[in-house]
Amino acid sequence: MKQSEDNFKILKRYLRVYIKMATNSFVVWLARRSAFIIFLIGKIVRYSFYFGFLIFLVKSTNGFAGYTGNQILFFTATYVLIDTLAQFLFRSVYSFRQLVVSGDLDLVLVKPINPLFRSLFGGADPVDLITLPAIIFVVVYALTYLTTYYILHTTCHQRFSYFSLFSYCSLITGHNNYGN
Amino acid sequence: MGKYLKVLGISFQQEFAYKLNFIMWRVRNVMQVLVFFFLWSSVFQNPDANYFGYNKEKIIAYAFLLIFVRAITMSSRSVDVAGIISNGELSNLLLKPINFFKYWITRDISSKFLNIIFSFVEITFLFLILKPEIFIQTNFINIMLFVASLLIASLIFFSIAMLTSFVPFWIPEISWGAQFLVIVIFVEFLSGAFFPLDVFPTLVQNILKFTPFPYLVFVPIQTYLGSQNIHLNLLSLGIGAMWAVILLFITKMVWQKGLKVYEAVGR
Repeated sequence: MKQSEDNFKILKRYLRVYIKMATNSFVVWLARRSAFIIFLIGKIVRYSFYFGFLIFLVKSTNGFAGYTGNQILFFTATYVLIDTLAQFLFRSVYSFRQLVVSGDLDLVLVKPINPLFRSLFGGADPVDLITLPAIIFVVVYALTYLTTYYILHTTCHQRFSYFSLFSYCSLITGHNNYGN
Repeated sequence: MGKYLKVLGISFQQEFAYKLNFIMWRVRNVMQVLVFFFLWSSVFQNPDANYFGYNKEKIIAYAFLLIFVRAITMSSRSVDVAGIISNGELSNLLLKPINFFKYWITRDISSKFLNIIFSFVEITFLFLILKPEIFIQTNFINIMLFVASLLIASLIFFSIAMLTSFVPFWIPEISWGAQFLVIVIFVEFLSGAFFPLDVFPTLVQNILKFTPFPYLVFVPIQTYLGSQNIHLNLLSLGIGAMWAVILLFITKMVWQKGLKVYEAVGR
């Protein structure tokens, strides 16, 4: 009982720290409004190109590799969602190299918090947060076209597997970025 | 001339300073081409299929040419200019008895030279592994036009890299933002480096022909593949050359205006 209470306290402390770090990150971004707008436009254009290309391709080929157009859209949208979610949560890994090279990692190591947590979750990205709803919409939109198929052919276990793998892939993507 | 040869030599050695970094950059390029290769291989599962004016041989040739064309046109050190403007390091360069543009063109040449060597190794390696049926151009005129289009593409990319790098003269905090938007997004998608532009509807393709982007990757590859007749190839080359001249002129003008507002922040 005592152990679980301690764990809960630690979890609460880390959540408070995360909220603080995320708020700081958002404030930094808002202070650089022009950069914020450029990156936001860039991400929107990039996703528009991704999906535009797929739609043109699928329309001309009527699907490929055994997948229908909607399945391809759902597949790609899921990938983009995982990638964006991972980048939103783990954006600060991009600056990790700089921390090591400049010696600023010392400042992270002396703080009473897990340095890996600080390095991974240190800077939530509001640009990704803004684009996330649109990507979720595309996933749901593609899913609604597949719904009939899924209700008829998938089990609860398979649906649960999708969401589990989705969460797992987000973590893997984040850690891959960490390796870079 | 001697000093630029020295710059070329030093720059070439600098490329080897962070070997793993360079190797990972090449791995990234190969991965992009592999994605392209496997995606289009699955689209062309039926060997007799013909989509967007390509058969399987030509689309595979497009994938392999991407490695080579990207190595020539898109490998560049001039993208570093944005960083040296925003942190004030540009002052060091301005004090040297060296022409700014010649210096960066020389550094670009060194980067391209190294990337071309690696691209040949990668193409050979992938060719041996994947054993694709590939289209080989035998027409000498097409090959010469292809070489000319690569030269024009390199000049266009140099100008675009420079123009986006000059943004920090006015907005120092956007050293990477402008390059992300223009080079990573627009150049990558609209040049044909991500997919052949024939995928787009005709109207979009016609609009794109009036922009400099297709002349970076798509037009050189089309020229090699001989997808158009000689007159259209020459016309494309002419438009590309016109874009190169216009962009170089604008680059020079923006540079002169930028120097007037340069404050050497941090120095």
